[in-house]
Amino acid sequence: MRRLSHQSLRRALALGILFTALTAARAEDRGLKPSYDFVIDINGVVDKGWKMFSPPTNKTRILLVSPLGDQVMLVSISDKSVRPVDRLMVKTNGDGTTDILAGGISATRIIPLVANGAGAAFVADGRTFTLKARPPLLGPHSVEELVTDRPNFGEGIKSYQPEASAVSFLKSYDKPTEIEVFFGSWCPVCEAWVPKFVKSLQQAGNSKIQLNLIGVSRDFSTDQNLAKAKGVRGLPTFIIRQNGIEVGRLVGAPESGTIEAALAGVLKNRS
Amino acid sequence: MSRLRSLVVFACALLVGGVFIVAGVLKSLDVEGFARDIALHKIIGPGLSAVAARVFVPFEIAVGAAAILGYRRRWALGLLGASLVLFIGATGWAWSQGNTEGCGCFGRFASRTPLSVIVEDALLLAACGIGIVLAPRGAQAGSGVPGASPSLETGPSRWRGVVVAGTLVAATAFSLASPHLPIDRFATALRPGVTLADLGLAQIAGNLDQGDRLLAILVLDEDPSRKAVEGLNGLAQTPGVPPISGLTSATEDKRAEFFFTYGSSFELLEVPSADLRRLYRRAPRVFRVHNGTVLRVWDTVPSAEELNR
Repeated sequence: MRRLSHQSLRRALALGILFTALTAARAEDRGLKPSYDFVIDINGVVDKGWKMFSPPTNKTRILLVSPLGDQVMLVSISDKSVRPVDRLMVKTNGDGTTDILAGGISATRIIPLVANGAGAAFVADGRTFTLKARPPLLGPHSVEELVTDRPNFGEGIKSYQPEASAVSFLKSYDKPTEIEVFFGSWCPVCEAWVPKFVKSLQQAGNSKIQLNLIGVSRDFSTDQNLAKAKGVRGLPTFIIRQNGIEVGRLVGAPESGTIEAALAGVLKNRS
Repeated sequence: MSRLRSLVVFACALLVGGVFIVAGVLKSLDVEGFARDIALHKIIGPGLSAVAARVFVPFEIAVGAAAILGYRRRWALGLLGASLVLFIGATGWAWSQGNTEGCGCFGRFASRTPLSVIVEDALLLAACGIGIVLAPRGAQAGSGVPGASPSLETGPSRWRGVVVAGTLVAATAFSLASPHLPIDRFATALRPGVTLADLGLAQIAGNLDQGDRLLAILVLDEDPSRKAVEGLNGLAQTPGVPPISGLTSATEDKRAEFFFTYGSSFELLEVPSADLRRLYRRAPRVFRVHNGTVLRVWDTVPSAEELNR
């Protein structure tokens, strides 16, 4: 009797674990963040309309959502597989993240993913999809171009509230100043700080402070390019010039305080 | 032989032989790295480079010792001179082909330009030439040590031959064993307590000197680094493990290919080859950094428990 009850308990436990495994979404399939590291090429043509989401700590798992939202697939680079996802089981959260609800990922239909050099390809619905690394923005770009190519930078600009005292100083600053911002569209530190810098200057609205955004490649420190010629050794680098002469330079995240306060600090020393 | 002449010969032998011994000993600490340096010249393939490295390092040390000890000194200087001609030719050819990595007889311990290597080798070659011309021939040959005892001046004595042979055997044994010996702490610049600035990594994209980081040196076209991806991916998913970055000298295309082929979930940052090769003998090599200072180094991917121990 006692043995029977133990067996029943074990069976119930095993069934429970099996049920949970089959139905529950993996913890990492919740809170997927928009990813701009890749582009999708369909039958040889890049389609920038596809949205992509990844767990923050695992870029090898990529949720692909078609421009109309009618086709959703989960790519796993490490498992070399693609699984269709029920679009009704994909939930968009208020903070911009996405969850795949339990049971949303097809357990039976698995499409093989084949690595082919600097990309990986699979065939779905008779079309060949190739996932490739998104090329970085290189050279001078306007804020609009940056935001169009990397909406994550746009989100950063939209959500940031600059420090009022620094913005007030930047608004009233009267010496013509040119600021070159060397950034990587692929660089997380740049994603964190460049939008704040841009937003602060946008709020200041001072026509005497001119902003030039310059995108660099991942190999910026080894290339014989503009960044190297200007001694850029870390990203982002903000080079501040007056009358063509460098008067200050900010590199990476500020040691303390805000980026706009750091800029105001450099300009105050030149007043 | 006049005292001045024997002094000049000994000085030449000491200079050339000394450089070869020091270079050989340094390279014997990392014979595999030396083999990679040879392969970078793209004159011979990786397989032949591995054999050449294991043969050449003991040869350098033993012949350098023979030149200094005065054992068949003219022959020894001739062999060292021939080696220098070979180095100059190889460096010049590699330079003309744009393959300038791995320059110089000290391997990763002293990074120099091809021109400086050629000039240095030419000066050493001149010293060899002077030594060969001035050294006495045949029965006249002695140790060449100015002021040496008469016994030292009496021909190529057996004891010097025994010392040179012993040096060759010891150097060969050490070169073969060194990849398996726990001497990374001495053979590379990476060790606990050094800073990223000391290692030339402070300016690498990714702001590695901020907070806790786990860095893994990877050679993307080698199997051990490929096999390390699974372990590093596992760590990347483990709560409490600091952000992981892979350090490699591979190009952006090669890094993308590696990502899509092996599914590395951590970022891969490029480090110039000359900076990276000072930090490892075998990849992967993993190290934990806090605010830019190296805390611990592992010669393989550590487990999460080891990491936090």
